[in-house]
Amino acid sequence: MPSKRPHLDSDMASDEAFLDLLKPTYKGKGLTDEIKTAEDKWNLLPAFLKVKGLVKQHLDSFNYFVDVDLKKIIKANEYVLSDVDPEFFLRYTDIRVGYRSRDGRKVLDGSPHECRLRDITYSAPIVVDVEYTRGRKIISHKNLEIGRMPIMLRSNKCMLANANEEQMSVMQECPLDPGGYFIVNGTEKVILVQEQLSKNRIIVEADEKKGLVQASVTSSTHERKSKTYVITKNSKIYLKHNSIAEDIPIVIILKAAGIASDLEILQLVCGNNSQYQDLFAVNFEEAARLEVFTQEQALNYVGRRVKTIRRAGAPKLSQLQEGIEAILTTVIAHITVSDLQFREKALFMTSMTRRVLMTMDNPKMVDDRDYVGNKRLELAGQLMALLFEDLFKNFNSDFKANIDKTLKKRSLTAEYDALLNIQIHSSGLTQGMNRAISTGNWSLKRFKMERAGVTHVLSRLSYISALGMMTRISSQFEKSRKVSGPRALQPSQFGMLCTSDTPEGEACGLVKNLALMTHITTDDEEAPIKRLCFVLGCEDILNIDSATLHEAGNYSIFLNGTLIGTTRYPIEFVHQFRTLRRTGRVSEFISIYSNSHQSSVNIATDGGRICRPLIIVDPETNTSRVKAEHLVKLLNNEWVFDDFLKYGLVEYLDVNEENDSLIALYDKNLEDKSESYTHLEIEPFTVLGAVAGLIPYPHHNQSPRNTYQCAMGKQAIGAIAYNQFKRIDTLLYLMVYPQQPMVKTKTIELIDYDKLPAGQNATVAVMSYSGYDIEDALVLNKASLDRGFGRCQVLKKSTVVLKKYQNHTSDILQGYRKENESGKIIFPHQAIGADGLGEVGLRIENGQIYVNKYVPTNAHETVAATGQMPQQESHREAPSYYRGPEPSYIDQVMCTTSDNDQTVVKVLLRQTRRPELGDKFSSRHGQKGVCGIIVNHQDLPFNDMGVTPDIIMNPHGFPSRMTVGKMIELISGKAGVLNGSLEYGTCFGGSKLEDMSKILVEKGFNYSGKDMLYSGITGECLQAYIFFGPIYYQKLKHMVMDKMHARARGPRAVLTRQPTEGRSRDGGLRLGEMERDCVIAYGASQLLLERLMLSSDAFEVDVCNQCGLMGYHSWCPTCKSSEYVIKMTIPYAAKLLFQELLAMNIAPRLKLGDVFQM
Amino acid sequence: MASLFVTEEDLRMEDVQRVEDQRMDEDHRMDVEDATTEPLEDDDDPIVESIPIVMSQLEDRLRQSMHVFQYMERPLSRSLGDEHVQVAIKKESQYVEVRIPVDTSKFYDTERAEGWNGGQEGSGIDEQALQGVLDRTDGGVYMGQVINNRGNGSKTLMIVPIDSTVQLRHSFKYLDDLDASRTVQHRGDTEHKAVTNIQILQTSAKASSQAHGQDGSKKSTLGGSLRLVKKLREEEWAHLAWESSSKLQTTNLKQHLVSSNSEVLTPKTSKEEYLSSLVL
Repeated sequence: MPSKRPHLDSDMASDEAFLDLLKPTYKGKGLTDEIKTAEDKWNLLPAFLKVKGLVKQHLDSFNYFVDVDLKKIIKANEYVLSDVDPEFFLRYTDIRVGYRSRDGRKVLDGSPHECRLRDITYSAPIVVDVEYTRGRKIISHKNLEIGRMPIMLRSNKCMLANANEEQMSVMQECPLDPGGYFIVNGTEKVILVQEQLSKNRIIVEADEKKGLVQASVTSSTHERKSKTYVITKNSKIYLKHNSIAEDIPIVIILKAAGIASDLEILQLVCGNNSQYQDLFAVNFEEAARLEVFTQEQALNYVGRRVKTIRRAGAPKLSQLQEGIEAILTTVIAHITVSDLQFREKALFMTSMTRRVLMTMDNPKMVDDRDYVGNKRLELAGQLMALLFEDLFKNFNSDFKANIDKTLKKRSLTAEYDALLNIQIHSSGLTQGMNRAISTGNWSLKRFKMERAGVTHVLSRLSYISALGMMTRISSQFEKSRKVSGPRALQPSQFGMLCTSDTPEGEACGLVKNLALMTHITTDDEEAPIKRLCFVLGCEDILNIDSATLHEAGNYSIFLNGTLIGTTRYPIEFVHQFRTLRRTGRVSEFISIYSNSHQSSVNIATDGGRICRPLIIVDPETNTSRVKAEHLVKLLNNEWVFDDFLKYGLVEYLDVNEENDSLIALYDKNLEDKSESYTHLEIEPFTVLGAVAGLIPYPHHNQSPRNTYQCAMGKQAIGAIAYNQFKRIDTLLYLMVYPQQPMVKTKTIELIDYDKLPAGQNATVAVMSYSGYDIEDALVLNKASLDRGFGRCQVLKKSTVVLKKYQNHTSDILQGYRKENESGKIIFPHQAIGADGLGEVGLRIENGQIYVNKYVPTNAHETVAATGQMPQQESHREAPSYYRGPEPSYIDQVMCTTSDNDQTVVKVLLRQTRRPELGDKFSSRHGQKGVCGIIVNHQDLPFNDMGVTPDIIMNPHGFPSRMTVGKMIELISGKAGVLNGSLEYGTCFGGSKLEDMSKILVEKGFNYSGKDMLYSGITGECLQAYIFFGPIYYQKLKHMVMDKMHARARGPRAVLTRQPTEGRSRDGGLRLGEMERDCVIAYGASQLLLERLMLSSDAFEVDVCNQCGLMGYHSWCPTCKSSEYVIKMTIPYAAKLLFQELLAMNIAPRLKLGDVFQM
Repeated sequence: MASLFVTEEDLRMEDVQRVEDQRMDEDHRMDVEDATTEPLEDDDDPIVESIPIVMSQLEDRLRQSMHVFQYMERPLSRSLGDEHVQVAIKKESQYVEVRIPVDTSKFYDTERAEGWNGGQEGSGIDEQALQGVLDRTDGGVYMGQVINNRGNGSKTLMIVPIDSTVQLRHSFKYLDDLDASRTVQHRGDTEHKAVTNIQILQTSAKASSQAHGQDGSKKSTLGGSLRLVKKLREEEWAHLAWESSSKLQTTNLKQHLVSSNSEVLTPKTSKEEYLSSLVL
């Protein structure tokens, strides 16, 4: 037990956000408890999450987009010019979102919650400053609105940014809601994180069977995306590009890029390595054979093979010019050539070639596509930026077309104000953004990119499902392809992506989740880093001669994949660079690492890299740099997380830089002085994500069980948000009495799952009972259900729009109608009031009305044309009926107007459900089960204190599942109950089993958690000790009431006259192909006939036995007689088939035989 | 090979080509490091010797400039002697050409050379043309030499700022000319090389008129790079004089660089200021 220590919190700032910290215990730790570095460095975690939050990556990326990227886009598309008037120009000088001017006032439409309720978009105006010519004058105009931008909740443009709990509640927002999503037309939309292969980097792959090696690079600029390959073919090396018709021998392309001499090519590609030289020599022969010696010849050679589709009117270029342009702009497009210096580009091609050669020489030198360091995550901000630039270009070209049209008509002398027209096009921007986010279709003209399913509706099933969605990463790989590589768990995922949280089935391993302590970088400026490299002793690539480039001991320095120079002292260089980063001179998210295989130092400043904070280990003392005193400062609020970065105690490492370090998992590892550790893990449990972090003792479980729980945790019914009763969602499940788990984890506290839990602590007896517990079925205690165990509420929304029509008529509401004789309100109107809306609190049954709407009979012609008609007759009834097996209660009714000024009525209907047979439950260990039987309290076993279980679980659930964590949860939970404490089941830590057993023993229980139970039926003592104690159980959303379905007769499809399909259409139950096969095999022909025809679509037809075609009314229209017409029953589908065949000029003729004459 | 020149107008041609390429590289690497490592120095890297740094200037900074020429394929052992070297520059395009006579006495295929030269004049190819683009250094690159003082045995590091560097590459114009003449023969005399130029002219003119289309920026850069090439082709060579290392002027200049200034550079920025100026 930690010793007590006098505390010093007399004059701590009374910031309410930290009030929690002032409580005697905070997050399970006493305020006066001693702080030991070894165990309490986890305090960095809440500090990290306070700064970063779980969805920080989304917010960061959106903030970067609206604050930085937008300005860049504006800069790149600065001018709008006119073809007609060369004098005319319009220049964008600045762009802002949300702020009209620099006064800092945010301009938003209503609060987020209002947007949700009113089905409108939470957006802010995009305003620009422009300069343009009017006549001879140049006019500058500020704060011109060009459209509206959907705003990410809790981003710095959102009204919730930095709001405290009180302000949040005023805005009817939940303070625990993570934000990071958009509200478009009232629905919450998340832009999922997209995983992609990193851009502008060389990836080398090999097919060992075919002996092929290929280096590829995806060049991505604002304008275009293209891929360049350097490939081997018959052990010769070629360059391949989509817009060059043939593969170009590498020597020729290098000559075209200005390296005309073979000696230099050889030096740049092979250096002094004779093996490489031997492998490469054949390529020179190729060029010599083609008689390409000079740059001009090479350019001509390339130019001849360029496939160009030029726009009409563009001039035809000569071969040489085509060649120059191919080299300058097409190949490796991300390196831009501004003057005539081709060298950087040429060197990029030589380094690609060198990588190919290295792989030809040693096949192990390939890159791994699935390695997380080669991946980049594309976030909401980047996707929005791509979309915005596309829309903005459209906007400008529309605007320009408009200007041209006007200027053409006008005489040049007349003044013309271009701004008069600009607002016409603003709807394009607004709607373009809205449409993309609400449909999830990202179509970008300039990249010819068409991506569907980018956005998803934020799942509000439970708090954890919403959180899980915000950390989800979807991969671009096809789900159908049967490759195991991209789906497999990558070792480099450690600490970056959750190792457990992935769906089962087709998306397994392709959809991932972020681990708890990760950060995704945003783009950083390259230029200052390049300058810094030169200052740190990097030799500029433009000054290095080819002979020394690959000299032994010379390390190439790559900045974002591009060679910028070399150094002879890589260790010193990297060390100095890191020192600068640790002192905060360089952005903490820039990574640097050296690769000895490739003799390179790689620096990355690009966005989308995953990184995580780690404690720096002092190289001299081999101890953690974070000491107890630092943590005291943290707890006393003198420091925040960023101070640890500033003082060089903690730093961010990305996946590549992790490879350069030796990371100790625990403090105790540091004692081993033989290893020189560079970093120390903050907490090992951060390898898991937010969802997997809910599992107690996950390190004792078989791993797939943790994965199953990750899927099921998202389906658990619980509390959703503090504003859950204010929400009107399409479907909402709420638990009536949610409890925080007895056995918590650190993650649970960090993500506030204990404040919005989804489950209850059930007392579980692991034993066999009644036989209704086979196949994981659970036995539930009826008294527990009476007391509210597993009780939940289901809230369903229905929306009714009261339309306004062109002829000034509109839909109206009418109050209830009474029966004529008794004066009683007629049955369908019993739930509505005098205003025609459902009365809040009233019970509504199947067939009753909740909104009594009337639509005008004539909505098209004007009233004047039809004459003045009395109001009553001009409308007909169009009420909304409640349909459902069980009655509901009207919970809320809301009337509002939407965007286009139409009245919207939303009615929220509520059902309270207690668990019934077949409802699904699950513990937190991937152990799901349905309720098999509900047993009376008195029949259940009880222990000597009279405690009966809430749930009885069959012990057969354990051996094959190996969920030892569940057993430890039970023991810890039991100890916690007896001890009056909440215990921890944190991964790789938590309350120790020995301690828990000790508590049990102290309280007079068996150490193993087993109790002696008595049969509730006979009163006899059970012959075995029963494992008995609390386990946290989740009620899952799958409930029998939503699924049960049966039909005797009912609706049929119009076309086929077969029963409809699906529960929602009261459909039939299909006897499918396989079932049919069974019946055939069994020989039950009459059953077959009944199932397939009589109960389905039996139809009586008149068949003419002479022509074999079908007639009607005992008449054959083909033979013009009724002589041979026979009535028979066939499936309607068969009749339909015959008719369809007839329609396509095929005559199916029926030849009928006599049943009785064989 | 380092070279130093000023433009033809002021008729004061100096060319130094004595400090070998290899040496050069080493020198300026050294001073770049000197400037940076000191403030960051860890104690495991002790200071062996301190050398005062003296910055030297060209006499007439406005009219003179300093450049490093790298002739990359030439080994150190074969440094240039007193050959007759011609230098020309296209100032606008920052493009230089150096013509070096070829030693026709050894390893020289006269027949082949005559064939390449189209049989004109009967002579072969007697000089090599080396071309390259000048890369501005934007300051920060210096040429330096450690000078041992005769008297007291002390050393000084003399540094001179360099305006640009250039890597020289062979241009095989005779081959291209051969190709061109072949094409001309093929097509007859209707087309001439000048035609190409006119085409480019149209390109740029049209491109600029279309530049403000939907993706105007792309169009203009596209025209831009080709325009650069066109400009380069059209620009006239401005010839410069080459002074070999043994000439008096060169020696004078060298002497001037070494002795013009003896003021030892002392850092004025504090360590803190320096560090924060690194990343901006």
